[in-house]
Amino acid sequence: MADNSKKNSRFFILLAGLTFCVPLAVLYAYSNWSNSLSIYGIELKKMVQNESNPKIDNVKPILEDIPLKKFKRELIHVKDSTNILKENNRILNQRAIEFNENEEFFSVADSISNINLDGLDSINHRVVIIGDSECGGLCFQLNDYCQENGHKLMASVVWNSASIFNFAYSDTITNVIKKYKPTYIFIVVGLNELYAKDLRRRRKAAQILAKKISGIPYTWIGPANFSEDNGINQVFAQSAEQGTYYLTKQLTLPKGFDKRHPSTSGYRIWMDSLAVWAQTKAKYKIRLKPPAKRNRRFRSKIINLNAVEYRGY
Amino acid sequence: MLLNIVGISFTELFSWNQIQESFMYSLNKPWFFTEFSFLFVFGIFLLLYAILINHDYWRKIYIISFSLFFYYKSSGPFIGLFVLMILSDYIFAKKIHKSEGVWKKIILLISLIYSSSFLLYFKYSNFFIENSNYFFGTHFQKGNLFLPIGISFYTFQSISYLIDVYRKEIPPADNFSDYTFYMTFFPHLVAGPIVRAKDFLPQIKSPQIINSSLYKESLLRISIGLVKKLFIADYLAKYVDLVHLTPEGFSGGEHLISMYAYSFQIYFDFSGYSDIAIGIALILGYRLKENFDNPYGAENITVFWRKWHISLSLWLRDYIYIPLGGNRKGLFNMYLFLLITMLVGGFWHGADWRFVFWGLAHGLALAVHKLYTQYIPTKKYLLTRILGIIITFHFVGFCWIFFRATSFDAAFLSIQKIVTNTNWFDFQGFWFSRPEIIYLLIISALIVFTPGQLKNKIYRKSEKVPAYAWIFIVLISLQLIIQFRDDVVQPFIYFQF
Repeated sequence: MADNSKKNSRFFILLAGLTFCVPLAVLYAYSNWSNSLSIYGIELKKMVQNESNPKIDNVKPILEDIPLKKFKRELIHVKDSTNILKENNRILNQRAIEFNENEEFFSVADSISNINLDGLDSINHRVVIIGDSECGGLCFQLNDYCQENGHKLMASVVWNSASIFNFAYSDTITNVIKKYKPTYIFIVVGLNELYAKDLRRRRKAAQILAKKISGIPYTWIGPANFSEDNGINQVFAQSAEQGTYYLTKQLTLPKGFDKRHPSTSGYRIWMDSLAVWAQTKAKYKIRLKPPAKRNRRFRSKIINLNAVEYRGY
Repeated sequence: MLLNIVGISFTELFSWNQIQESFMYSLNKPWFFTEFSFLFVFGIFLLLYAILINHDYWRKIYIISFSLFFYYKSSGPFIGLFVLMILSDYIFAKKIHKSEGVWKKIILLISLIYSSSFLLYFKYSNFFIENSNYFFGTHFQKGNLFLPIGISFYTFQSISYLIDVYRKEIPPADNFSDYTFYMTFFPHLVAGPIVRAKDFLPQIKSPQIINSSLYKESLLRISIGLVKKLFIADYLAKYVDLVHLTPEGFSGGEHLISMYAYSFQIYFDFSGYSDIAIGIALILGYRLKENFDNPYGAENITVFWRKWHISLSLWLRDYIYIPLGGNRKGLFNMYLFLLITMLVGGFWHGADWRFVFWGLAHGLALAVHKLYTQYIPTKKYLLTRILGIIITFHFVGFCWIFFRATSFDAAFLSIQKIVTNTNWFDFQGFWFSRPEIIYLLIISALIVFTPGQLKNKIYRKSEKVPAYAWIFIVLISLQLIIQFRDDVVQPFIYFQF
């Protein structure tokens, strides 16, 4: 009886040893295997990750350039006094943008009818726009474009006072993608870091952000500069895929009442010129014909965050 | 051959340098139970252990050797200090046992001072220097000291052994190898539970027979412990660490969520460790006492301390509270002794006023609760019990803020934000941005507030799983952990103590 117990002990200890060794050996062998296994579309992660980070440093910047000399000259005469930007409440400080229909302004989109758009696909995209406070103005213009072109603006994430760190180090974008499953993303970020000097850190964050949205067609919209930046545009352009970065700073946009953001007409001009670029020069082209009617009803969701109160990471 | 078929060569799998490194101590990568390399080596260790199980002497030597190797991998050169302490304790205990009268007391005193001197030096000297410089204007230089892992735990074990021998509750260990076995036994070595000699020494000679039921219990405990630590605690830690890194940048709502997250993190971290330790000891044939018993299900703070870190609570009761006088010297003194005991408990956790404050807060709460129950007898209704659980949990969670914050100022800032800067908007944003943390908090709450009896029922069900199936269960558990864990595995919180 005692002998049996001893044999029993030995057997179960051996079995316990194998219970640890065998699974770990299998997992270790799997992590050294060149292929990966998936279950229901979910890739099984490996115990030892061998892949190195993709090197984005070597990508040369392609700062897309639109000849805007005439455009700039005419903009100087744009009157901004009739724009009204209401601070609705802290939930959405730019929701109630009213646009004066009588205002005269120059729009590059007016010339879009001359552009050959045959190469554009006929997909109706699920669009999401994510960005800092400038996104709060741009999203209303994008809404008009989306409705005109049969795209669906799924959501606008307006993260006031946010910088690249908020977008890169939080799960927000990942969750937005997961929830709304966009087929096209617009990102507008950089206004709050125009004069940042820690560009190395921001480059790293920008690369993380680019990695997060890679796989989905996107356009990364640079901030609307009213003065020269310290190189943040260069950093973002280098981090984004070639042909996805739209350099807004080349535009001269009318300022809003706070002298920091564009005015309503400024946002409209911005969106119009962006639309031209997105259909002609962007890597991921998207159909954005100028809307016949402006200030359409905004039907999609606006998620408003404030980085002062909520950093996200 | 099989490996070649799937495109892997042995040279890719193993290199000589890797093997060499795996036997060396690395300051940046100490060994702990959650390291997969440890689990693999432990598996190999068991294969040989199975051969030695029936040879008492060699079994003992084998476990001691592995334990010392484990400690070396965790603490490197401090193994010398540890062995010195074991040797001196062993000699002191023999002397105490043989002596009588005043000499006995003097030897005990010397041995206690000697045993605790290591802890005092490594853990508290900088604290005393800092405070002396601050309060008395002295100019002592702080030392660049590394705290040997597990020193707080094995110092308390050493003290309990010496006092138990003095009180004649146990005879000294028969031989040096027995005492070394007790002190170095690797499952409890670095982060407890604090094992008493009287519970453990008798087991050394006759370990339990490992049968199917013990095997399954052991593997269940280890698997649960790994999931608790690597899946839940480490995931919550990512968020908690962010908040406490720059507390000024987060809103009150985020601080509140961080408080809940840390309450669950510390429980799953430490109870996960204890589960693994108990499971590992079990498969070797030794039973360590439970260290947690559904602590967040406690309806008051007194019950909480009977269920949380039980080995430390009992140690503090038996070696501080009762020797001070316990409840034998009047009501006022009882409250005073409670406060002193909890202050020591707080200070044991760390050389920082935050821990002292944490201990003081718990001591005061215990005193208030004792006073309350003395004058206001309470009937046990379900509603009062639920209310009690909620209040106790929130009080404990509130105190954890001091435990986790990086400074007093940071702790007060966190509390201030919770009180003055929490609004519904924060939770909306949080829900959208970090839903997985909310899911994990809900899962954690379900686990910690599930009654113990229900958990035991689930445990008993696991006995029906065939023994061989555990290989697959462990495989699935490990893959789940790999799938969801962070790239960097957090060290156990209690390693720092």
